[in-house]
Amino acid sequence: MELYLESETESGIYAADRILSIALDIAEKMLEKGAQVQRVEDTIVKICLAYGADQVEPFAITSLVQATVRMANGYHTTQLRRVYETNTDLTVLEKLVHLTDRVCKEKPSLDEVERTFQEIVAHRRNTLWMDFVGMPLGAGTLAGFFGGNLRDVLATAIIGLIVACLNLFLTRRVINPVARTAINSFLSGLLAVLLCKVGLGEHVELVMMGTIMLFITGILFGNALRDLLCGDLIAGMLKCLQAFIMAFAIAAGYSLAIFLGGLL
Amino acid sequence: MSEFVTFVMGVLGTCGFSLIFRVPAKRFSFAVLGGAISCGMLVLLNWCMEGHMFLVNLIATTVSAVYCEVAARLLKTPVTMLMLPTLVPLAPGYHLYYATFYLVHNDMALCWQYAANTLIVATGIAVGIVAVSLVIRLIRIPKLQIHLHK
Repeated sequence: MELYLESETESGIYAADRILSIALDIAEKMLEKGAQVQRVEDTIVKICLAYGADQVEPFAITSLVQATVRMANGYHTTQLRRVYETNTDLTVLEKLVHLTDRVCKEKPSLDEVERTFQEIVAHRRNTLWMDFVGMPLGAGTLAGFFGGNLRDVLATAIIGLIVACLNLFLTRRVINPVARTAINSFLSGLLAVLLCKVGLGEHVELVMMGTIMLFITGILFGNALRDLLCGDLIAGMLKCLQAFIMAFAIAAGYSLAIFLGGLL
Repeated sequence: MSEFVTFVMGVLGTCGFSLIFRVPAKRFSFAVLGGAISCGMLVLLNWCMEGHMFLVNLIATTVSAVYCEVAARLLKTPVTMLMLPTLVPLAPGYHLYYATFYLVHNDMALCWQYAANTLIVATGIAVGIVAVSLVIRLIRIPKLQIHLHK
């Protein structure tokens, strides 16, 4: 049994548990930051093979990653990670992809991989301003994209700013994503009605459309179908369901806002 | 003129969403270029084949997806990096809003029509992404298999 102990790392052969643990840590983080299921599975395979695994059987869906690895000496182990929420951060994702590439090419020591991984994850960049600039800019200009005039764009941008603040408030408390989308949709719909009543926005429908774009992810359904057609049936179906539920949450939030707006 | 304003607004929208998705600074220009391609295609196609909702979205997505896949390979970065911000302007916000609007105003015929439109647009986007990714995958498969079997 000494064969699998930690001291084995000195002779260049690593313990299966540790390799798998690192591979799954990276995979889990990638999934959380918006990577495709297929890429996550590929990553696990690549890392484990790079450190001398004989056979790797990864399985990932949107909320779970697991893998079994069998080493050349016959020892095998299984671990899994649960992913509770995804928040897209493509900067972190790219760093993790580069780390994986480096692992495959240079095979650095596991300590080094672990250290780099911790640096990537723990590095707290000040990215909050991106939400506060991106949301007003994205929502506002898309209201213009649908045909709104400058006043509509301005009104939508203000709502975008408020949604950014709201997100900050809502993510701190743990609320499930569907409820959060519904609440966000309802409040931004209501704000759209109010801002148009006050006279800032001119076309309430265009202002609402701009803000809807903050919550709807057109690519969600596309990714779901891609997963389905590429053979990742479970992940694809989960994503389909997620896309539909998100659409319902948005519709529910906005319909309540439109209904209340009609009463005003 | 109004088409040009639409185009510029769409590109700026992509900038905003690139920030929300935290696209790294050195990839930012490529993401925005993707947005320019998808918006440009959308404006152009809406102008020359108005009313063909499915085809417009399918073609716009296909062209953008080809750009994303090729650029991502050249830049050695995940496709998602460019695909997410690029396809933002295509999201069916317009139709989803009207579906909701007519639902509240109890006009079921129009509600269903817009709900169906939402699905049609989403399907157009999805088919575009899938078609391109399948073709690219066909080209890539030999490399991947070598990798899996070491």
